[in-house]
Amino acid sequence: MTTTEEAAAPKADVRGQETPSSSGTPARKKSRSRRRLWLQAIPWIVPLVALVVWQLSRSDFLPSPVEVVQAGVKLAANGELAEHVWISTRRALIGFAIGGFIGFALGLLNGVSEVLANLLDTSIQMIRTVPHLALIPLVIVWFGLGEEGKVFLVALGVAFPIYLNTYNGIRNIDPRLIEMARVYRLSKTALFREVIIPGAMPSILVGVRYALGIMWMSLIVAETIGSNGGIGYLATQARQFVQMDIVVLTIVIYALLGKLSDMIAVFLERRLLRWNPAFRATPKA
Amino acid sequence: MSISITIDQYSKSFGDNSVLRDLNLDIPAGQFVALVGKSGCGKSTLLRSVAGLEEATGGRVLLDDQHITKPHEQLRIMFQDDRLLPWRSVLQNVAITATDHDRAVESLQAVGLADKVDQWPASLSGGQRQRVALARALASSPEVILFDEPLGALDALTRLEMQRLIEGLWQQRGFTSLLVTHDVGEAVSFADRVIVLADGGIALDLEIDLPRPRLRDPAFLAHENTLLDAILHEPERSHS
Ligand SMILES: Nc1ncnc2c1ncn2[C@@H]1O[C@H](COP(=O)(O)OP(=O)(O)OP(=O)(O)O)[C@@H](O)[C@H]1O
Ligand SMILES: [Mg+2]
Repeated sequence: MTTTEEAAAPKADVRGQETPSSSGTPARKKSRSRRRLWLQAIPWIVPLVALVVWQLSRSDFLPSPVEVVQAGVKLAANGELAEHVWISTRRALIGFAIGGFIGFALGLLNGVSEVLANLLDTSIQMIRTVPHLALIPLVIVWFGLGEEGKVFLVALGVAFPIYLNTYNGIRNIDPRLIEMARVYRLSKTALFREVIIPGAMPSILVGVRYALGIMWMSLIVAETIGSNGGIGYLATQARQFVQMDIVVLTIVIYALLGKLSDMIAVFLERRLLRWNPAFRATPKA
Repeated sequence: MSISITIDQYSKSFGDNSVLRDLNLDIPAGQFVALVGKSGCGKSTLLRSVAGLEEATGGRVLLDDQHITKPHEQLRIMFQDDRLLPWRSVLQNVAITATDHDRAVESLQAVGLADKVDQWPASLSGGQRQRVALARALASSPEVILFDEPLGALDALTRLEMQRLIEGLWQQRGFTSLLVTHDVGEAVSFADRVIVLADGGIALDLEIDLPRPRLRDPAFLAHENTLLDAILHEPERSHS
């Protein structure tokens, strides 16, 4: 968890799909669009094959995909599933908002002020390396078993990648652009709006992407505390009653939520980094 | 209406490296001055000092009567690199200080790029980007423009085009200009006056009183030779 947070722009995999040119005969076009469909299908081959193999191999310890789906349908029908998913999502979002804000603010302050960076960065790096599980007893003592502790753990997890990437992003802004801004006598606000924030944005978004992943991981840990709803609670309950279909269902839900967050992150990158040739598009598009 | 530049006993060192020493130079309002000299002789440093980007070690720089300690409102620089904001469109880049949209468009028209307003800088050629940078410098109608080898990275044809463009705009608007260049021919074809910088001071201050547009006639070449001599022979003189 700690090593994957480092800024490393995952540019290649967020590139837009090739847009077919308008030239070419209809037949040519058709074959090209078929090719495109095929390209889009490729990533799903491995999961599909895995699913089929899973369904065919019977085991007492692992429910089949069909059983998992049935469990999902049953829980969805009585509204239980939606409620748990909503409770977890709410925790995740509140934690992300708080942690994201703190991480961003600290990154911004340390990125702009060398004195503050000197004062704070080492301490932040030290706290960063503490595993969440080690904090659980403390969190229970501080916050009890309610919502606050869970939100705290998520916020804590989210804050670091955002902090780190905001800080790095600001420090790596081209100093020549800052100098240009000086010659053009930009105000402090304009400097932030025109140069610093957009300049750091690619790095910040990498942080957001990691943070979204960590958000769910922290939540899984957090939801083992106490017993008041959420996907983690659902999983814990199911484990106690050896309802393996529901246990697997919760894992699948986490995977889907994780994938969804990642798609949101990719969308943000495409939208906010349109200017970057790696993300293609024209202004005002 | 433009502004005069006065450099008064100006010195600048970086640590032990004394780059400029007790330099005096008066540039009347509206004059076009070219600054030439060997690489590392301090041309950029002098330009940056006039721009208020360097802290003086001694002496001072005045624009009209104002002592320069930070960038002056009526002064712009064009750097060797375009320094456009890659995340802003061409128009937004030009409008960075001239918040007035119409003036930004006008300025882009003046450099012949009115059709590129909605492009990202990344989609332009090097020459076009440099023209956008020129449009940005012009947009606020500054009284002084400093050029630090703005054409150095361009191919010969684009360079010629840009030279004509800058000369035309200067004649039209009359801003005071200080141009750093490696190219002695460029200096002679552009400038009212060429300064050769060497050994921390001014080695030659040459008036160019040829009619414009300038042709490469014998008088032109004579000026070029004088300048080349001054640039190439100065170090020997300073040793003796
Ligand atoms: N920020 C700086 N810190 C330390 N030394 C510097 C700095 N800027 C310039 N110098 C030194 O000052 C001297 C003059 O540099 P300057 O950039 O003014 O030269 P120049 O005449 O513009 O050269 P060129 O034609 O290659 O651009 C050089 O020796 C350089 O090493
Ligand atoms: Mg230079």
